[in-house]
Amino acid sequence: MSSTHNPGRVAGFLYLLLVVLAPVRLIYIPSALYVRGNATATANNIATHELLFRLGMVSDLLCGTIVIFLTLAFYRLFKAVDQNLAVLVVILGGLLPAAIDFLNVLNDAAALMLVRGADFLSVFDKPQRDALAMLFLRLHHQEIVAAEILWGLWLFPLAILTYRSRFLPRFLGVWLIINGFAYLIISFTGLLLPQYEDMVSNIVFPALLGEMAFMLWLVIKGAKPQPLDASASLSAVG
Amino acid sequence: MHPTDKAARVAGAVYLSMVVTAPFSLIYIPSTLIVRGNATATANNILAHETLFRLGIVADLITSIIFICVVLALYRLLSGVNKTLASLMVALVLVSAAVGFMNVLNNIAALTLFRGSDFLAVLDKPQRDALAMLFIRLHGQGNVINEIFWGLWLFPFGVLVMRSGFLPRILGVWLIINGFAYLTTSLRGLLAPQYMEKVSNIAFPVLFGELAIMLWLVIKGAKVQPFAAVAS
Repeated sequence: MSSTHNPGRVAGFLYLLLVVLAPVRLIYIPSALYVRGNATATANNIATHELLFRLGMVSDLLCGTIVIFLTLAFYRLFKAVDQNLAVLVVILGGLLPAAIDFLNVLNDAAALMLVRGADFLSVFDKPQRDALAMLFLRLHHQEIVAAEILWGLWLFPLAILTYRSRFLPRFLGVWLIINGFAYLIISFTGLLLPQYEDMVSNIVFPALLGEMAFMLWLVIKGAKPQPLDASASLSAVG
Repeated sequence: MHPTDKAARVAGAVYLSMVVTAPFSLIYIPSTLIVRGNATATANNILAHETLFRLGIVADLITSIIFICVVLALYRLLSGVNKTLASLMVALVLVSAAVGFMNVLNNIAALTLFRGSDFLAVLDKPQRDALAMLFIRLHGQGNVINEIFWGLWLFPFGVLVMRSGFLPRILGVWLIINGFAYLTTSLRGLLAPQYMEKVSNIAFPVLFGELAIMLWLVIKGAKVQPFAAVAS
């Protein structure tokens, strides 16, 4: 069974690529380079590991690109189940997050310019430049908090499509719905009660594995939309 | 006129209008107003030619809108060849247009700082100018990032042209090469900015692929084979 004849597996591999790349900028770069509340140390880290920081920007851009192809792959997989919901998956999960991802890279670009301190920035002292750089890094994070609303919302149509599809297990659909709510909870906590953001993220973490389970299922088992007449005749026999 | 031929000429004409607006904001405004590495000189230029700078902002926005119209016209022309690829082309352009619109805010922020409204009086003029310069640079970075989409959408477009049967295959190939050129320029700008200018100069000729297809669509339209006409 080659992946070209299995649209589910195509989506699965794109999803896998996303799951591998997204943590580079989301988790690895902050943990390797950021020093919480210390702009100077953070700026120095970024200056010494500039290429790593730039790779983080590129991984953000790649993720923004992959989600477009991923959601179009889902569209192909699910359009026979419900075309309207499949379009919603592309808009909420592909096009809007991609645009936000791309723009968010500009916050990183601003931070990097300030850290490098081009000539025209010499009117600011280094501590001022570092503080401004920190501001843009924070903005990058805030943009992610905002985008998490979309990361949650697109899972609802995806979950319903999975649940109704008959070619994917229903428990994955249920888990995806829970996963969607988890993102919404994280996002609204970050916006309304930022002091609890880390705590809530840790609590809801298991829910976020829904996407992982879904992705692994697609990679390993794949999924093929069944022709409607075949399922009809099956139910007639059953 | 065959409907496909008409669709081709409409798409070409809309596409061609980008040749006026895009270089105005991408090349003319930066080259006349922005003095690289000199915030004060740039500030003086922009304040002296504020309307010109604002026209650049408007041209940026219009380019994004035309871009959407172009891809919808091309969808009408090429969706019969392969609907999936045509949809992909539209999706990539829509995202690019959103990025283009938001990127304009960087120029607006720069202008606000250069003008130095009352609430900005807490910053010295040199500091305001430096911050404004930062936003001007960010606008440039925004274009570097958007070049990824300017490249990516040309792949489905190029393949569709190649497969169409009513447009010359060579133009499709040229578009695909053109797409790679944008991607290379963008990645170089992100990972190794010191080579930016050099790569852009090398990549420049292949960027004429887009100009070639525009002109072909406007002048020659689509050569629809008799059998294609019967099939449609």
